[in-house]
Amino acid sequence: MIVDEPLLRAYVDGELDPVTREQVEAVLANSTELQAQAQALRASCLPYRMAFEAQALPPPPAALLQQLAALSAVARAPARPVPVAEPQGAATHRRRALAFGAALAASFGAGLVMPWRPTLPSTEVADDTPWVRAIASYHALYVRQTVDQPGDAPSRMTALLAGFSPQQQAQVFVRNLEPVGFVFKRVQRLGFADLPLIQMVYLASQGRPAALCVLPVPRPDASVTAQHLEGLGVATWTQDGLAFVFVADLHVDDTLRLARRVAAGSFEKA
Amino acid sequence: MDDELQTQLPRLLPRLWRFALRLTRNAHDAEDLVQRSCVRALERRAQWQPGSALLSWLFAIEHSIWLNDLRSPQRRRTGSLDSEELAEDEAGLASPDGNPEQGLHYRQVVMAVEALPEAQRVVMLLVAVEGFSYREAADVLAVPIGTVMSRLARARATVGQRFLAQATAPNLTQEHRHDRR
Repeated sequence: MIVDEPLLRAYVDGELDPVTREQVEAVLANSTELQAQAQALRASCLPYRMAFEAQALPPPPAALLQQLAALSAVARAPARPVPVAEPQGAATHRRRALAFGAALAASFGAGLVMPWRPTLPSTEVADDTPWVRAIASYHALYVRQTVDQPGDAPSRMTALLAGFSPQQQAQVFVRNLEPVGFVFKRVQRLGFADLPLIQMVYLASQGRPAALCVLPVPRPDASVTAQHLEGLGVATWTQDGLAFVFVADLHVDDTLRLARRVAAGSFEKA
Repeated sequence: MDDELQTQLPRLLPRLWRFALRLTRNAHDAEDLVQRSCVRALERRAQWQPGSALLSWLFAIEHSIWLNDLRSPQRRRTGSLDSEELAEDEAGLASPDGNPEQGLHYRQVVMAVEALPEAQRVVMLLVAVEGFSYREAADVLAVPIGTVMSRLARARATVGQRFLAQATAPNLTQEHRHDRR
C-alpha cells in the first residue's frame, strides 16, 4: 500500500474505514518519515475559520456598493414592470438600483421631458437623466482588459434589436470609428428598467474603453450635450426616439466634438 | 434567473470582498477585482444554472480574473512580503473577548496560512476558511479534485511543521517580530 498525502490526511482526520485505517497504520509503523508527516498533520488541526474571522478586515467600500447598484440597474433584464417601492428587508443597494428604474419610469409617466432646443449650446443643460448616470457608472467599471480580446462582428447587432421599431433599427448600427482611432470590439444588449439598451464598445490605442449606447425613449430630439461623469467624458443626444450616450476616456470638449460627428452621421456602418 | 442573480449578488458581496482582500492582500486591488468580477458575472449570467452553487461560480470568476488579468509579476513578488504584515496588522490585534493568548494563537494560524505557497494558500482559504467542499474548491480553481486534496495535505503538513517548531521554540516568533521592528 502506498500512503500518499491525501490518504495520510484522511487517516489523521479519522475519515478512513477500519480496514484501510489498519493498513495505513501498518505502513506507518515501519516509516519514521510518514510518522513525522502524520504528526505534522495532527498539529495542523487548527481553528482556521475562527482565526480568519477574527481578522479586522475593512468593509466593502461605499463606492463599490454604489457601482454594484448601477451595474444591477443597467444589466437588469426587461422581464417585468419596475416596482416603485421595495418591500422592507431588501438590501440597500437593491433598493437603490430599483430607484433608478422607478425614477426613469416616473419621468416617462409624468410626461417629464426635456424641451426641444435644436440649437442648444453644448455647455448648457447636460442630460442628467438616470440612465445616463447609470450607463456612466457601469462603463466606469470597464478597463482595457475587459474588452482587449478578439472582438464581435458588427453584424451581430441584428440579433439584438428586438423591441426597437423598424425605423429605429435602421439607426442602431455599429459605426466605424477607426478613422478617429477607436476600434470596435463588441456589442451587447443590456437593459435599463424595462428598456432594451444596446452597448457598442470601442478601444483606442490607449486609455480606457469607449462606448456608444442606444436605447429607445419617448422623447423629442435633442442636440448633443456633454459632461464629465465618473472620470469620463459623457455625451448625450436624442434622435428619432433613440437616446444616444457616448462615453469615452476623453476631455469633455473632445467627447463633445466626437459625439457631434457621430450624431451628424459622419461615420459609416462598420 | 437574472433577478435571482441580481438579488443574490449584493447579499454575497461581503464574501466576495473578503475573498478578494485575501487573494490580493490589499484593498485597492480587491476593489478592482470585485468590480470586474461583478461585471463579468452579470455579463455571463446565462452560464450560471439557477439552483447550483452561486458562491462557487462567483468565486471561480473572481479567482480566474485575479489569476489571469490582475496578478502581475510585480504583485506576485511583493505579495508574499505583504502577507505577514497583513496578518500581523489585521489579525494580530483582533482577539475576541479580549483574550491575548487566543489573539496570539489566531495570529499565528493566519500567518502560517499566509506564508504558504500561493496555490496551497488559496486551497486552504477555500476549504478551511470558507468551508467549501473539495468538489466546490476544485470547481473554483478549475483543477481536478485530487489536486485540491493534494495541495490541502501539503499545506496542512507545512502549517503543522511550523506549529511543531513553534512548540519547541515558543519565543521564536516573538523575538523575530521584535527584530523586525
